[in-house]
Parts: sequence; C-alpha cells; structure tokens
Amino acid sequence: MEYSERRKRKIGYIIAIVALTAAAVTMTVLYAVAQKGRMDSEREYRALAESTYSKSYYALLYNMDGLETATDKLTVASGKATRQEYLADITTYATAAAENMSAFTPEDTGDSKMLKFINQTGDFAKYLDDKLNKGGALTERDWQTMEDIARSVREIKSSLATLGDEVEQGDFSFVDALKERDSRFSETLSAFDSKDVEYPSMIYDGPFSDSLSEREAKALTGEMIDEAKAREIAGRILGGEISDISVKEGSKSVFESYDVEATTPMGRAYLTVAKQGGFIVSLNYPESAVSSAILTATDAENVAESYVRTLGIPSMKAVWASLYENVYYINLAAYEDGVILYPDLVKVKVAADSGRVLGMESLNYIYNHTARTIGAPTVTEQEAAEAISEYIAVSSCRLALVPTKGGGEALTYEFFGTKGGENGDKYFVYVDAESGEELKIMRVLDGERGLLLQ
Amino acid sequence: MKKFLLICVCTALVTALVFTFFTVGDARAEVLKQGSTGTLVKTVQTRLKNWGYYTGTVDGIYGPKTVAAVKYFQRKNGLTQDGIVGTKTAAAMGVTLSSSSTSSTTSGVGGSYSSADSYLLAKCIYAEARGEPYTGQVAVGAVILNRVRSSKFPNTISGVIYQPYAFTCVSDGQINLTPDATAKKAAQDALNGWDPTGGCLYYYNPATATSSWIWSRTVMLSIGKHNFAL
Repeated sequence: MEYSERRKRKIGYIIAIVALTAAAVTMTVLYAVAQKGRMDSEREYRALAESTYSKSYYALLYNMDGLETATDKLTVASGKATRQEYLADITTYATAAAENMSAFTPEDTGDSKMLKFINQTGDFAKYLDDKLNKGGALTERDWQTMEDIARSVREIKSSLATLGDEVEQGDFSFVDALKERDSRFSETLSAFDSKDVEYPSMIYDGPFSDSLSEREAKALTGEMIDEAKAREIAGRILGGEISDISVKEGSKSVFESYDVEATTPMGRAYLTVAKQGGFIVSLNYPESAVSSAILTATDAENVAESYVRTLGIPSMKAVWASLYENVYYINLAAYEDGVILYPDLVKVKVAADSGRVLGMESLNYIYNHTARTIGAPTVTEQEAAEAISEYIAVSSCRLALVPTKGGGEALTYEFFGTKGGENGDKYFVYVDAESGEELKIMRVLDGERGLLLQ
Repeated sequence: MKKFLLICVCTALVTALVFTFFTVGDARAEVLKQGSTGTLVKTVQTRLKNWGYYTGTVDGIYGPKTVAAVKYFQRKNGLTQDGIVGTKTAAAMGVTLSSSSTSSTTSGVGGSYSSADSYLLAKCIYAEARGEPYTGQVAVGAVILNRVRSSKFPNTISGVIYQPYAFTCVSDGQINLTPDATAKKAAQDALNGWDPTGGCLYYYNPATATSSWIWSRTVMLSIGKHNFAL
C-alpha cells in the first residue's frame, strides 16, 4: 500500500515534469517561430524604407548630373534656342532634384541651404527663359550668377559623392543615418546640406528670389496704439456684449500686433490688431457652424463690402465669392479710378444663413496697399482683346492691377469669358495694358471646396 | 520627450505672393498640340523619349514626330488617339499642364490646394496640436503652409509634413489619427490665409524641446504650449 502510494506519487511527478517540459519546449518553439516571423517582417519593413531612401538618393544624383550638364552647357551656349533649351533643362532638373531632396532632413532645423539653392536655381533659370522669350538679353550679372551656380552645383556633387562612397560600401543605412542624427551619421547626412559650398545670392523676379525676403507693412500708418486702445478697438469691432477679454502681444515678425480674445454671443472671437494705427489684421469666430445657405453670393458680397467699410478700409470691391460648407469666402480688392487693385486684398467670411460676418483677414492689404501712380493703358481694350484665344467668348472686361512674379505689379485688361458655349469652362485672361501681350490665364474650377481659381 | 519638435523661420515672401496664381510664365496653352512650343512640350518629349515612344530630338517644338509619338503613347495607354496632350493624356504622362512648376505660390482665393491636401493638413494639425487653443491649431497649419512657400523646405504640403523628423506626429504615427471638426476648420482657415504667426517657420514646446538649436531662434509669439519662431 505504502509502496504503491509512493510509486503513484512518483509517477505523478514524472508526468508533471514531462508535461511542463513539453509545454516549455512548445512555448520556446512557438516563441522562436514568432520571433523569426517578427524579425523577417521587420527586415522587410526596413528594406522597404531603405529602398525608398536609396531611390531618392540615386534620383538626386541623376538630377544633379543633369543640372551640372545643363548649367555647363548653358555657360558656353550662344544661340537663343540653345540657351532656352538648357535653361528649360535646368528648371526641369532642379524641380526634380528638389523633390528628391525632400526625402532627407539634413538638420534638426528641417530647413536646408542646399534645397534653397536648388529651388532658386530652377526659379532663376525660368526667369531667364522668360526674359529671352520676351526678347530680352542676358546681362553680365546673369552670366556671372550662372557661372557661380555651375560652380556650386559641382561642389554639391562632390559633397554628395563622399556620401556615395559610404553607400557603395554596403553597410550604410539611410534609415539608421536619419534615426541617429546626433551620432556619427549626422556628419554623413550633412552632405545633404553642403555647408561648405558657397551659394550665390540670386536677385531676380521670381517667387524664391532673395530680394523678396524683406517685406514691409506698406498700408500701416499712424500712431502706435497701446493695450488699452487695442481693447477699446476690440470692443468696438466685436460689439457690446463681450466678456472675458484678454490682450496679449502678438507676432512681431514683419510688424507688431496685439492678439485679442473675447467671448461674444457668437462664441470665442480672435482678433489681431496691428500696433501701428490699430489696423485690423484678422478676426475669426471659429465656433459657429452654419446649417443652411439662404444668402446669394451677391448678398454676401454686399455684407462683406459694408463690413470692411465699418473697419475703416475704404473703396473695396468684392471680386470673388466662393461657397464652402455654407460659408461664403469673399475676396475684396481695392478699387481706385476704375482699376481693380488685386494686390490689396481683404478676405471676409460670411455665414450663408444669416449674413453674420465670421471672420476677415487683411495681410495682403497690409503688405501691398500704398498710394500708387497708375498710368493710363497704352493699348486699347480692342487691341488687347486681339491677344485672346479665338476659343474664348469674352463677356466682360475691366482694368486690373495684378501682382507679378517677384513682387512686381502690372496694369492689365481682365477679360472674363467662356470656352465651349455659355455653360462651358470659365476663364479669366489678363492682357498687359502696356505691351498688349497675354500675361496670365486663370481657370474657374468648381471643386469640392467651392469655386476656385487655378 | 521627442527632440525634433517642430521648429521654424520666417520668409516674408510668403504672404507676399497674394494672388500668386498671377505669376507670369505659365500662361501657356491648356492643351498641347501640333504647333505648340515651350518647356511643357519639352517635358512631354523627354518623357516620351525616356519611355521609348519618341525618337526625335527634344526641341520643345510639337511637330509631326511628336504627334506620332503622342498617338503611339495614347494607343498603348487606352486613350483617344488624337495626338493632342489634353488633361487625360497629360495625367497619364504625369505632366501638369496648367499649374506653375514652382508650387511655392499661394493663391488668395481659397487656394490651389486640393481637398486631399486640406485633409492631410487637418491630420497634421490634429496630431500636433489637438488640445491647443484654436488659434494655436491654425498657427500650426500656417507654419506648414509657410514652409511650403519657403525655398528652404519642400514645395508641397505632403513634402513638408512627411520630411523625416520634421514633425513628431509623423515619427510616432499619430498623424494617422482621424482629425476632428476643429482641426479641419483650422486647416481651412489656414488655407484661407489666416496666419496668426505672421510668417513663422518653426514652433516648439519650450517644456519639452531638447534641441539646443531651437533656443537660438527669435520667438515671435507664443500660443498655448507652443512658441513660434523665425
């Protein structure tokens, strides 16, 4: 009895041990399999990420090669056609190289001198191409800049090539390099910023031109206001029933301002007031949801026009209305002596159910509005109309001052018309009122976000 | 916690370009056809040549050879064979006909950004700044748009947002959260031109920022937990 009892217990232990071991082995095997699977898929993800970066890197080298060839050729090209060909090539390669560059962030800062250089180069080449198109000639300074660009491109290429040596050796990983930018890799990645390269400064008429870096608030005049005055202005603009007002220092980048917040019957309102002259920079009531659209675009335009008058901005005319989620986005431009001044733009949001003003924004007006001397057009409306495509049936025309690339302005005839019958595509065509040349075409697009201009 | 908190610079260029769709230079044809000339024709020829459809020279002149190549391309791609590069053929070639190649520009009228861009912007705003005051959310959107217009950063909304380590929310996956109505509205307001930062290119949370570089930037204003800088 006793013996068999002990024996039974022993067998019990053995079974337990076997079972536990089996369980442990099973677990281990399962874990190993799972682990392998995980590592495999991890390796796969890594390889995928790595290949994306490698592709961008090699495409960048390819496009920098193209850029180098094109700039070198340009510096020795003397025919107009060849020059234009290489200028177009430069723009194409620079645009593509900039796209490839965006896969990498060389610095904590996220910005890149090299990217700026590439963007400017493409932009500058386009400007020179336009100049040649218009019958202009390249100046000594243009050539000098091109020589400088060609030199910088060569330097960037040799800087990228040092990275290439590491990449070729095989154990380089872009993923690691980007992940551990504080360590030894950051030096490698700095090839993407090419800090030692001397980049030329480019002044020309283009959106990336260095000459544009200085902006001024032309429309702001008058005395500087203090906080108390800002509070008073806010009270006037927001109406009587407001509470919980706070006034803080706003941005001081181009001009100084106060940021005012207050609770109104329409929800929390945000107002920015320029210190100089107390001009309203922006106003927003973000809380209001608008349930239905009752007002027509003309109603909303009237609301917007009278609203900006109450803000003390004179002679503004509604030039564009777009309805999105029952809110009208109205653009108003200054209107003087029969000329629409598009650079001096104020935007007003109007609720399409009640006609309440939900917000306004006047930065463009602040940057651009100033006393101008606008000369009379040198070509007549009839002459200008000849520049327009025969496919467009013009229905209206007026004089408009439009911003040009690089911060300039041009007096134009603005023709509005349709292509393909009355219900066809709508276009705005701008014809230079001095040269009679077609300057710009805008297409009206009825998109998901309302009417847009493209 | 993460070091690469968003940071930034101000190029005044930004708001400069009011109606920048007025930028001269791409007032070219809506379609390309025999007789067309210029950069776009060159782009088309280059592509066709790279893909083996075109054997002539890339000269920017839309001649009979180009017409033949375009027809060949159209046949291979199931498009109407008219030898004209219109919207569909251009899309199949990956060529943009009407918009400027420098997408650095901004439009004063609602913007030339697509609704996909607007949603992506809302996602980034939500992931980076939910819980911040409304103006703070608009400000984050404005910083992204200011970067798009700056030459020092990528030239598209997606390029700026997905630049490696530019935004914490992309690194940790929060960008994939579904944005709420407030973030969408903030994106819309930013696209419509509201820039509470006055052109800033960087922002950071002073409580968590570890980059020494960021402290050297000139702070233009602070909204909620974020400092906005040039």
